Parts: sequence; C-alpha cells; structure tokens
Amino acid sequence: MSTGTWVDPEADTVIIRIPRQAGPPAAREPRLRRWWRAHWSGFALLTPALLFAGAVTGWNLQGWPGRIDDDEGTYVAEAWAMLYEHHLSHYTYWYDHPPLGWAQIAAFGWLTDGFHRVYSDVMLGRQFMWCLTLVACVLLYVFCRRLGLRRVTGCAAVVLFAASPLALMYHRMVSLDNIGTVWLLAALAIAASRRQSLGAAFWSAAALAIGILSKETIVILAPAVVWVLWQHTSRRTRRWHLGIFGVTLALLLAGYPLFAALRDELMPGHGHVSLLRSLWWQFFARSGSGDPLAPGSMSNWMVHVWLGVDPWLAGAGMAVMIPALWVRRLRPAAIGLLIQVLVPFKCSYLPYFYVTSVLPFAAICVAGAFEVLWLRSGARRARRVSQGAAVAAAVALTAAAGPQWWGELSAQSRIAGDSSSLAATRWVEKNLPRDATVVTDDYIWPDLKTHGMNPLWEWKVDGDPHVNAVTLPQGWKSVQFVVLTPESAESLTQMPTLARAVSHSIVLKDFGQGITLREVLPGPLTRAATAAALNPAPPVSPLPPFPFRLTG
Amino acid sequence: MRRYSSIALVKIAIICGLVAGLTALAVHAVVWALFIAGLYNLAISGMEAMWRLYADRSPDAQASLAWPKSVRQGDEQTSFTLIVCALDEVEVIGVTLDKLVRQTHQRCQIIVSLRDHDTPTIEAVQAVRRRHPGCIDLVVGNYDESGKAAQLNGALPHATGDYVCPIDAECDVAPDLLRHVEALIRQTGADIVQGAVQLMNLGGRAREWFQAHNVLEYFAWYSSRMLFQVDAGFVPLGGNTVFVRSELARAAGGWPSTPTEDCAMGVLLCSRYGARVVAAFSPRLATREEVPPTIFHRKQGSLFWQRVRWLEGIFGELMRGYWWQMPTLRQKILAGYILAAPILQAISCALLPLALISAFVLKVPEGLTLFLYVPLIPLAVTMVSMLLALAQFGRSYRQKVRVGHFASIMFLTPAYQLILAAAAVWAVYRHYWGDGTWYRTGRGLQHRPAEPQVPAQAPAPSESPVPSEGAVL
Repeated sequence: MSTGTWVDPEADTVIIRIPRQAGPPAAREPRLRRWWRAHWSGFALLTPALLFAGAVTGWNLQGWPGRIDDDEGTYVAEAWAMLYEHHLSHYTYWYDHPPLGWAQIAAFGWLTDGFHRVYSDVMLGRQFMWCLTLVACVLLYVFCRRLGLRRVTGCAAVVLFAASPLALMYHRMVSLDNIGTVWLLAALAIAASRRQSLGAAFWSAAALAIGILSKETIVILAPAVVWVLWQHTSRRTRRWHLGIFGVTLALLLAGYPLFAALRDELMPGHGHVSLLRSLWWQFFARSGSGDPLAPGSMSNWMVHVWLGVDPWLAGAGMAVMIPALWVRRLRPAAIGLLIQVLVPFKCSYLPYFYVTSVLPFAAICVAGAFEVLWLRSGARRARRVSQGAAVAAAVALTAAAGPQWWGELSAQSRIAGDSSSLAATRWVEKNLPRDATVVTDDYIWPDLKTHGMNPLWEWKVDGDPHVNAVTLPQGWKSVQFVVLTPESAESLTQMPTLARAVSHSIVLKDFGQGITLREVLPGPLTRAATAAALNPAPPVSPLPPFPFRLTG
Repeated sequence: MRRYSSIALVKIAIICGLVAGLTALAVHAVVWALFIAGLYNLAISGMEAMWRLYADRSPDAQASLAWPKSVRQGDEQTSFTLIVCALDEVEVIGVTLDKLVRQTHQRCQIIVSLRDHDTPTIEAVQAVRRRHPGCIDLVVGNYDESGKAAQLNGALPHATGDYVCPIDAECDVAPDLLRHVEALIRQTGADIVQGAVQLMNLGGRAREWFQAHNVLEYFAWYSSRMLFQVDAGFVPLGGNTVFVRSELARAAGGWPSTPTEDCAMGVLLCSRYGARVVAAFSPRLATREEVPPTIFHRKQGSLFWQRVRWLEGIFGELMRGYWWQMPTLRQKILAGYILAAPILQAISCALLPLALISAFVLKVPEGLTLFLYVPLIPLAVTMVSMLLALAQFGRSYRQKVRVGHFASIMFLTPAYQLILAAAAVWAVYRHYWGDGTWYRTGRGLQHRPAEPQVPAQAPAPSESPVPSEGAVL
C-alpha cells in the first residue's frame, strides 16, 4: 500500500501515494522468497557461529562444571514440584524469586518428558540451558543487526558470547539468570524493531516483564531497554511508545503482588510467608557482599574469580565501556554494562550468577569497538591507521586469549564433576529403604523423589517449621541418613540441627570428591564417631573446585 | 424479513448451545464461565485498544490517512453538491450557510432541504439567499416520513454535482475542503470519501465532565478507527462530511429511511454495491461540531438520547443483515463486529467487574483470577492513549486542555462507559418494543463563540412527522 514516505498530516502534503484499493495488485514475489533474499547472508554467517556455540556449550554438559552450586538443583526441584505436585515449590514457597523462571523449566520438562527421559534431573535443567544459550545467540545477533552493526560484527559478538570461559561455565549451569537474560535480549531486540510500531513497544514490555518475573534482578537493566526504545522511535511518536511500554510493564509486574494477595501472602503476618517480608529481607536484612574494591570482601573475591576465569572478555568489555558511550549504536550495550559494573558498589548482596547478564553486553561492546575502528571515517591515512590498530588488537587478543580458552575447554571436557554425586544417588536409591529420611542437597533431592524415595532438603531441616513438625518430630533424631557434600559441610554452622545429626553419624560409604553417605545413630556416639567429631576433616576451601589454575 | 429472522435464529441457537454446554460442565461451570468471560473481555478490550492505536501503529500508518495536496483553483473537474438538511435551526443555519458559500471550490452547488411547516428556518435561509444571490438552492418539501433521510432524498433529484455530501445545519466546514476531496478522488478513484468530523468543546463546568470523553471518541474514531474500517473495506459512514458519488446514491435508491440513514447507506453501498471507500484525516480540514450540552436533558441537548438513536440505527443495521453480503468471510466477520461493537462493549462493561468480583468471592484458582485481570492491560493501554490523545487534540486544534479534563478521562471513564452501555441496552429495547419516536438533539451552541472559529454539534435526525414531496425554490 503506502510507499512508506512518512507525512505529518498537519502539514497537509504528501509526496508519493499509491492509490488504495486500486485494482488487483501486480504479481509480486512471494513474501518468503523476498525475506530469504534479504537475509540469506546473515544465515550463512550465523549458522556456523550457532553450531560452534552449541558444540562448546554442550561438550561435557553434565560433567563440567560439577555440582558446585545447590541452586541448580533447587530450581529443577521446584520445576518438578510444579509439574508433578502442582505446587509452586518443593517446599513452602516463600517468594525468594518469582516462580516464572522454574515454571519455564517445568514447561520444558513437560514438553520433552524430561523427568523420565534423563536419570539425573539436573541434566534436564542443563539441557534447557543449552537450548536457551542458542536462543540467546540468535537474539544477540538480531539485536546487533538492529542496532546497526554489521553481520560480521554480530557473528563475532555471538562467538565471544558463547566461547568465553565465563560463558562456558555459567551458560550451562541451571540458573534463573540465564532465563532472565534471554528474555532481556528478546526485549532489547524487539524494542530496536525497524518498523517502529506500537506493537514493538507492547511486546518489548511483555518480554521484559517475563524476564523480570523469571529473575527479579533483571529489573536493573530496564533503563537499557527504555534507552533502546527511545533511540528507535521518532520524536513525534515517542510518548506513545513509552506510554504503552510503561503501562504494560507496570501492569504485568503488578501480577506478582496481586498473586501474593490472592493467596493472602502479601502482607507480613503470623504463621505464613509474605512477599513484602521477603522483599524486605532481600534489600535490608540480608548481609551484603561488601565493596568490590575492598580486599577480603565477598564481592571482591567473586570479582577476582570472574576476572580470573576470563580476564579477556570481561576486561576488554570494561576497557571499551566508557568510549562506547560516545558511539550511538553501541550506547545501549555500554549503558547495560555500566549499570552492572556500578550496582555492586552499593555493597548489597552480590549473587553468584550475577556475571551472566554482563556477558552479552560485553560481547557487543568489544565486537562493536572493532567495527568502529575498522569503519572509521575521515582521512584515508587516519582510516588506515585505525584499521591497522583494529587488526593488531584483534590478532593480539586472539593470540593471548585463544590458547587459554582452548586449553580450558579441552581440560574441562575430561572432567566428570558429577560422577560422585550420581554414584551416591544411585547407591541410595538401590540400597536404602524407600521411606528412610535421607537429608541431601537439592542436586540429589529431585532424583530420589522421582524414584519414589523420601529425601529431605538439608536447608529445610532448620529453615521450615512445617518440615520440623511433620517430618522431624524428634528433631535431629528423626534424620536417618545424610548425604554430605563439601558445600553442605561448610554450611553446617548455619544448620544446627543437621550439624547435630552429622555429629552423631558414621560414614557408610565414601563416593569420592568429598561426598559421603552417613548414617545417623541416635544413641551415644561410637568411638569412631567421637574421634571423627573431635578431629574434623580439614575445612574444604570456600572456593568452588575450578579445575584450572587461576591467573593473576 | 426472512434474513432477519434466520440471523436471529442463528444467534439464539448459539446462545442456547453455550448455555447447554456450560450446564453440562456443571461441576466446573463457574470456572468455565469465568474463563469464557475473561476471554471475551480480553477480546473486546484488546480490539478497542487496537482500534485506538491503529493509525499510530507505525509511521507508515499515519501516512495512509493524510489528505493529498489540493487541486489548484481553476483546475477543478469534479462538481460537488452540498445538501444541508435542517429542521428548526434558526439560530445556526445562517452562520453555517454564510461559511459554506465561502468554499473555494469553483464547482460547488449548495442545496438547503427544509420542510414546509418550518417557516422560521425557511425565512432565515431566504435571508441568506438574498445576501448571496445565486449561490444557494432551496428545496422545501412536505414529506411523509420523519427524519433526515426524507429531506436528503427530496434534494437528491435536484443535485447536479458528481458527488453529494450531507452537511449538518450547525457544522463548520473548512473552506478548502472540497479541493482536497477532489484531489483525493483523482488519486484513488473512490466512490465514497469520508472526511473527518471533530467535536470541539471540552467543557468547563463539573457537570460537563462527559464532553471531554465525547471529544476524544470522535478524535479516535476519525484519526484511527476510520483507517481500520477502510482497510477492512467496511465503513459505516458518519452523517457529515461524507462525499458519495451521485449516480451510486441514486442507484441505491437514495438514503435508507432509518434513524441512522448515514450508517445504513454506508453498509448498503459497501456490502451490496462494493463501493470503494477512502478516508482522510487532518485537524485543519476536519468539520467542527458540538458535544451535546447535557447527558439526559432532551430539550437542551442530550448525549444519552442522541446515542440511543444512533445505536438503535446501528443495531437495526446489524439485524437487517446487509453486512453478511461482504465478499470474504474475514470481511463478513469484521463488518459484523464493527456493527455489533457497541452492544458487545456494553456486555463487557457488565462482565468485567462481575468476573473480577466473582473471582474473589467464589475463591477460584489463582491462575484463573490472574487471567481475569489480564483484560485490564489493554484497558490501561486505552487509557494511556486517551490521555495522550487529549494532549494531542489540544495541540492540533489549539484548544485549552485543563487538568480537570485529564482527571475526567482518568477517573470518570467507567461512568462514561456506563452511560454508553445503558444507551445500548435502551436502544435494543426501543428497537424491539419502542414507538419509533425520534428525538431531536437540542443545541447548546457551545461550539460557537463570537469568533468564526467554532466547533460543531453532532448531527441529529429531527423529530416530527410530516410527509410529502418537496419544492425547489
């Protein structure tokens, strides 16, 4: 219909018009063929990048990283409970995170019959994360193209995003941050839509709302989405787009407190959990991680770990972050990166998976910086100099990072980080009575539950009054078996009931990698148990068992 | 009549089927009923939001409604006849005609069509004719039927223009409108051109709170919803500033004799004659009218009774079934939906709060209750679009928009929707059991201050039963 020349109706002039309903349209190329002609080169470049991303992310998906963060098992267990027990969580849902994240894991499990297909349920979660990584790569490419970057730059960003050791670690692990980041990338890509339609504002808000309701910390990146929307709308229609975006986002997010209100769990009260109380705890009561620059703080330690795992992408991203603010098409990514660099300085709690949503912005900034140097306009000599600098920097970075990245990839491919945990699960399932109360971490909990046993999540031994009343009427004496992992062992000080049970237990079997099965004996301590209690094993290092040397 | 009863039977069968189906699900009847109510509300509120934003959905969409550059004076090839129907319009007809003669198009005929007993108006028109000799033709008739259609059809045989256009007695038409209409006709070869009409007075007193809503209704209708209807190929016409090809109007037998002859003609021409309709919108070229001064007071001018009359006509068109003659299934459904929209919205107006309250009182699953709240999202989007449109109206038409107007939109929209819903219900009642008496919308003259820059009032079929043919003077 219209040839697309935009006209201000108040100016009353129009330049080109095609008559509306002016007879049968001339025979046109099929729409699909036109679309393919415009996009085939992008497919040609993106497909190998996607294959590469899929290969490196899926290589030894279950074995590495090993079972280093119990949250992985928790999210899968909650998805299991949604699907099979029709509850929001495997225990009382206390509004720690909005439930939409593990609802998506549950949907994936339902669609692929995942809980019956794989032995270890966490593998189902990791398979979902693998799928999400591929989706994130596609969305990242689309976002780069809509920002105005070239196809090669978009593919370079995808490769950086997928191949970084930080990515290899965090993209596999079952985390709500991965889910939220995918929806955030979707919101950014939709907001940068070339058609500038109001529908784009609406769907961008919907995608961002789903992202925030999957992982609430994504809300700090909402300004980046608003910035993209601002950049990609004309001044005349901008207020319409922002109005629709704001209203849709606000109302969709309001569904969460409304949901809590419907369950009478919005306001704090006696005898029930409450959304407001959980929010208050997250913001004010929870101990912070400290200043990232202060040595010895938790925050500082984590930053060291992240930079140690991959100094190249993270470091280069931070190096180009400020200059990128001056380049219009890189500005949204630079803003996203800047927000995430500044937020930890608030000294509140810094989650372990925080770095997940840093990676796409760092990839865009780094790849975009090379494009800016390569395409620099101006005098021929200056252009040659900047192109030369771009090539030199690319070669240097590849030479420095490439071997390290490849070395780490091949080293981690040989590690079976979950073997002991899986062995313990199998042994418990085969040898222990079905109704025995076995305290485990959440990696093992869903597997035992799926096979009809009676596991108890270690954090609920002390943390849930309902569990105490029903499952542990005699306190620690009701616990019969404990599967103790290094992570659990170091947290025993926060779980006094479990600690007492462990101190009255003997080791039944050692599965290696620090995982033991203990039987709790309610009687007086045996001599061996006394000796073990009086001479405890050396404390396990607080660091996750990274299989490679920390640089720096 | 046969088509009328078969469509009614189909509808009754659908309703019975729904009721039976719901009864069969007795165990979960409440949940199913609420779920269906939620789907219905979501569809209605979603369509409403979509219509309001249709012309803003992308920068291209705006261009589709723009007027082309007007033809040069002296280069006119198409002729137009403006038919002004009036009944008891002494206060306004003189000013309207004085402005109409200033039309810049060289080939424009103005016919005023009156009834023979309306002596004051005839005298007022004669006074204008003496001031502008040779510019205005007068047709005075003695018509059997009441309503505007008879007067329009009385003037139609005397119309010499290629296109005829009804103009209301109290409207202000832009002087160079016809030259732009001709340009659009040349460009598109359209049979019908629908120009924009805009109500102008936002109201200053507390009891005029509804006027801002009515103004925005027209603003959204002509700047956005009209484009949707044109793209769908089915346009129930407005009774003002609509240009119909004369030979098409004559072939269709003139304007149908219904309370809303404009809507009926639009439906008839689109469905049976496959007329090509185009619409255009520009604040500068919009015909300006007035919001009725009160809600319920008939003599002074009532929004409610005006709306009852319109909805009675639209409902009559829905029942008459000409819309079913649209060529494709998609167009049939769209046409039916466009005509049924007021009734469907009235139902939604009742269903939405009912569903929300039931969900709380009856303790249904939380997922269902959350779903029942989802229609509030398109409603909120509609609210935001109304607030932005109000600001845009103020800028485009250079009217002063006060905080009170924004507040009225934000907080009194449910009340306004209730009035419209009540009017829809009353219109259905009158259609089946009413006595057919027509009520003329009174004039408040709020759109015309001393200056010529004035808004206008909504067109109003007049009351009074007088028949017979007309005489041209």
